[in-house]
Amino acid sequence: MNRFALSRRELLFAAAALAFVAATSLAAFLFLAWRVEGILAARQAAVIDAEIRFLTLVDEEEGRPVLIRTIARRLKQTNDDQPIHALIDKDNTTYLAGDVDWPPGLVADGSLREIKTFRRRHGEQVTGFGRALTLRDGAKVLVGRDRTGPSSVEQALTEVILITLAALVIVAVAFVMLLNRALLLRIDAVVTAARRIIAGNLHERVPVQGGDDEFERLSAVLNTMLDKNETHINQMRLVTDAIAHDLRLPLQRVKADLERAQRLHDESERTQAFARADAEIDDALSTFNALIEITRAQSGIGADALETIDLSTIVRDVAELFEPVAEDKQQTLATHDTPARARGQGTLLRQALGNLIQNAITFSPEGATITVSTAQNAGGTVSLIVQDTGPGIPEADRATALQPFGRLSRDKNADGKGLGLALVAACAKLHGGRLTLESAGQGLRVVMELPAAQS
Amino acid sequence: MTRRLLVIEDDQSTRDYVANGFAELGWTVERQADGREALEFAHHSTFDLIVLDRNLPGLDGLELLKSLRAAKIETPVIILSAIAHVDERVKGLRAGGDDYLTKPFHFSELHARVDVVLKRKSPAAAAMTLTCADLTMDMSTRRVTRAGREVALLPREFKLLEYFLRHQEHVVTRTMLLEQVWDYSNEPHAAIIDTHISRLRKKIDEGFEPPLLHTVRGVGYRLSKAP
Repeated sequence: MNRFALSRRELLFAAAALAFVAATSLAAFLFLAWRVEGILAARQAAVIDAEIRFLTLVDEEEGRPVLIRTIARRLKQTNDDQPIHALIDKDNTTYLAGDVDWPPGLVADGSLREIKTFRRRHGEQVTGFGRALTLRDGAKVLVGRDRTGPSSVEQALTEVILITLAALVIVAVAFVMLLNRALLLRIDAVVTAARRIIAGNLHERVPVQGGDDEFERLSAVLNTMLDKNETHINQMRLVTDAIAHDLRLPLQRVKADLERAQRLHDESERTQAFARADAEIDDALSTFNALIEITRAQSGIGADALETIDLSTIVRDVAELFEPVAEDKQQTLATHDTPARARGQGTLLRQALGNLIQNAITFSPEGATITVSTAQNAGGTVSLIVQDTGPGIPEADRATALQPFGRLSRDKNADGKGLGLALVAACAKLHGGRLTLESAGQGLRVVMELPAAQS
Repeated sequence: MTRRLLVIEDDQSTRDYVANGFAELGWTVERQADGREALEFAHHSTFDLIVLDRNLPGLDGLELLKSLRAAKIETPVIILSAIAHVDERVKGLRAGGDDYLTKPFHFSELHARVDVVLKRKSPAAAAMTLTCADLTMDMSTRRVTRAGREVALLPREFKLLEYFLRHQEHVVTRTMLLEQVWDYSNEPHAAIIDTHISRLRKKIDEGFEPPLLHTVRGVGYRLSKAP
């Protein structure tokens, strides 16, 4: 399809707009013509008046022969007012001067009347208006105006109307086509960018010219969406790579265990090999699940899944669950739970807090104190805080610790895959909050900040 | 009386894994692979339990479940799903499922959950005194005694023991305890349960005969008079 072609709807719209503009201009022109005509008629009546008075004066002062000569002279002059003249003797028998026949039955009383007569030379009919006067000896003179054809002013006006309308139509059509073309060009830019993205160039963006019109806004929104999608896809790739990497090892071990079990004859050794394989698979699955959870968490949660939750209840429940584990390491698990109401998903928050407490227990030495608390912050947020007396995380490593597979040296010997903190960070992000790592004396202080529930 | 089970699962190896497992336990097992056909089948026959896959050809598992419940078929349903996310679990239970199990799973885990679900469906859960052999729990005074001697339990130990007493003679798995006693779902932390169990066992079994809280290797625990 021609890129300049207009759709049916556009065409209808353009035609309607055009017809409206044309009709309006035409009406304006007609009104103008009517007004001009009125002014001209008044002026012509005055001209006729002056002429007839002048001719009367000539007749009285200079005599009839001069009057006849004057009228004859008038006939030779061309005049925009298209005058007509006639002079006839008192008996209506002798035509003395002029260019039109004396209109039959015309009363020469000096008032302005319609004139209907014939031109003397070619015999054409003449219509118009004029005044007729009876001179002192009974002869009659007529001065009028020929209105048979259009006047030069009318002709000029008609020309102006036609030319203006033609220009209007041409300009309007050109304008619509240009506008259409400009729209198509900008749509093409979006389409081109979209095609490149479909072809796999995820970093491709819709061109932005820096203006502030609808297209710029659309492009900006599209680009924001594309940025977010690209981040998600890259994150997904990272996770997929990581899963592939992390699953290969346990699967390899499982394969080895199973192959060995096939060759073993001793029943108990065989059972052991199978149990090991089973444990390896469980391990791989839990890594896999954690990664899936992180990825899902990073893509957000529906608002309908959120409920108002008192974080202090979560602190009490989860601390109670982990208490015996801490006791086994002679650690103290202390709680300071002031009420702090957040909008959140209970199960996910319990899971997140469980991960933080498990980390704290694992990395703090025997006899340490782990404090779990809640806080109500200025600025409409609440916090879940877990503070330990472990080795902490050096400032430089903290950003890495929150990434999936951000394995730190302190994690090397732990059985966690370094996913714990990333999972908690993803959970915080999913709730519209954030996770920060801080130093607390010699230990680590993990703060999960969440939006407070509106009370 | 043999129990009747309907397994609705399109993946043949999972279907056989579940069906054969229960057949070995003496159940009568019917197998269905297509959602729409299975719904038809479930309408015309009665079962003690349905094991239902979440994603089915023909008709989605959750839709099938909703249709069953709408038709007032209240057979207990355990949903199997490859989707582990919390939202999905909630969706499954809201649709009328009695439990939700994530694939892959051990048969023993499924079996334990089936037992609990079948027991839950039977009445008499509101008893004020729970007993197992000479162990007694009074729900109104929150007193626990073994052989007439008072056992002092922490609130968390009380909660755990109550769950065991309500499901005595049944195997319960670690994840079941985490989910149902602590409303906590985090499989990697299932080992915490072992710590809680050893505390509880010290209090109710040490110095008494016979032991009541048994470990079922590779599966979980069971509170039972029988060894």
